Amino acid sequence: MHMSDALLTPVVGVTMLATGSGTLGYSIRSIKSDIYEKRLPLMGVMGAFLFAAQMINFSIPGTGSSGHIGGALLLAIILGPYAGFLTLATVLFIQALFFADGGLLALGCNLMNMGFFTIFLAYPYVYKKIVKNGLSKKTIMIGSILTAIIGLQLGSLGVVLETYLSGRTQLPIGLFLLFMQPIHLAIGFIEGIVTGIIVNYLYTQNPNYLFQDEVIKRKPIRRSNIALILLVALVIGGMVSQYASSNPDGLEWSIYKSASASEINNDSSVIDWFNKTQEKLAIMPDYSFADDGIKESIGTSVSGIFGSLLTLCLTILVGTIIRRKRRGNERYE
Amino acid sequence: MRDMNRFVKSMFNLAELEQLSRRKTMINKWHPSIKIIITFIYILILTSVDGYELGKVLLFGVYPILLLSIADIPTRVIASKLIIPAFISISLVAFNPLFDQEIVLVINNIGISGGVISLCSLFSKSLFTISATLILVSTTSIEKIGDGLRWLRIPKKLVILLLLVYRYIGVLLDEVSKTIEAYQLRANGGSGIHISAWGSLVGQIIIRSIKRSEEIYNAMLLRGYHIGDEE
Repeated sequence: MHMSDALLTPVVGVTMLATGSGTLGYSIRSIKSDIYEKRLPLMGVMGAFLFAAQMINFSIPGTGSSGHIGGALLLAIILGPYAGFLTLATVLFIQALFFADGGLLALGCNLMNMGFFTIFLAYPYVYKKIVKNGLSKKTIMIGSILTAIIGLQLGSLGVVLETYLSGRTQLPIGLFLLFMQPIHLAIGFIEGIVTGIIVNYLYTQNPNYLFQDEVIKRKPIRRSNIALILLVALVIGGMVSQYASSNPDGLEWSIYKSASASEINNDSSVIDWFNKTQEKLAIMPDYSFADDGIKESIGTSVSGIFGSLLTLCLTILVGTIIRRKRRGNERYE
Repeated sequence: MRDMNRFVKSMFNLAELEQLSRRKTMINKWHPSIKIIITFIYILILTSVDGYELGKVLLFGVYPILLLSIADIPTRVIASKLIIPAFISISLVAFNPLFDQEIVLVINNIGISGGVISLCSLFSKSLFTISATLILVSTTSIEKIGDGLRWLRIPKKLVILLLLVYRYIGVLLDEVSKTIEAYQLRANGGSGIHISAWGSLVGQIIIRSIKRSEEIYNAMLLRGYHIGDEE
């Protein structure tokens, strides 16, 4: 369910990053320093375990297929919500950096979709309520299944909304929801059962392996800071998208502004001769094909794409020369 | 045994990136926070380009290609970690060509629809954003990334946790792979772990991890570990 950078616009990505950072700050403030110090090694090892757990394939009875767990709920049950969320954040960060799973811009979205909904909504309001009247194998199992289903439903809803708001998919939102939600209902059910069985095993071995609630003395959060981050995120996001979607080429735009004309008139006969020659020679005069094989209206983008491909080829050539030259130098050193 | 290969492969790749990040090329020497900021701004600007502007998107390829050459990163290393994730990451928009069939380009009488163009541009975006991130980690060691994050005012508690998780990935992967190998040798074929072993197999790994973390905590205390209230 990892979202990637390519599916997002900066406004959505940065806003979600700001929201994710706010939740991270809240979680850090919620754990007292001495408790954090003590729990840090366990958080580190459990984070690494979550990586390894992605590689364990659980065969799903009666289907012949197998799958792995997301693990946010398992982290919350073993480490508690705050430490669980922080651990998940570092796991997602490492996945984005080293495993090309997710992305730096999409980190906020992934953190909220895969972490926040399960850990801060489903875990306290579903799981904790169900196991409130006494932990037992039955309550743990029911709690895990319901929590995983609700967490994943909200998470996949987040994925749909964020992708839809970014406008990168042409799938109508109704169809998108119809595609995503039922799949995640099944995934949530399996995740719940796997988590329930694992937690039950830990519970029978030693109930202390599961997170015990503690009295939390939270430092006050500076709300103004969160508001400021959100504001900055929106402004930056807005500015960047404005910059990128501005239609005219920067140079043409500035000339247009200063000369109040879309193209500067030239009366010189020499320039006129050069212009005519260039038009005859160029395969893409003024960014559209001279050949009639391509529609005039779309010429700009065709020449744009070919121009870019040409630039990429040139860059690869320059890159190869740099590498060759360096290796040549190394040989002589 | 297919799973085993994946373990070894992913471990090997992580080690490969780490080896690259410890060299002394020009880009390796830059301050980590600068590299993090540049990568983030690059991703920000690239993702802001409209989905139909394939020409503009392709131009952004100049940055990763040049950096790969300047930092002298073997293309094979990046490519092996790039292609499959790039395909997976655009799976959510794989249906674009079905929903946008309006022809926006005609080249030699072959019509290309808007959906195909947007899919191509999203795939290129995916390739470029992932390569930019991989270039960052193959020119910056995890400790340097931690330094950079601290410089960017990310709380110390979170950065230490990041380094700890990263360091233990190898240990836990090794442990899980051994456990699964032991299971598979006794399981008489079949794909994955049978439901009867879900609890005990994973539960035992977790209990071992909890015990290991207690040992780590003691070792850290003996070496004067203290975070304090600093953020």
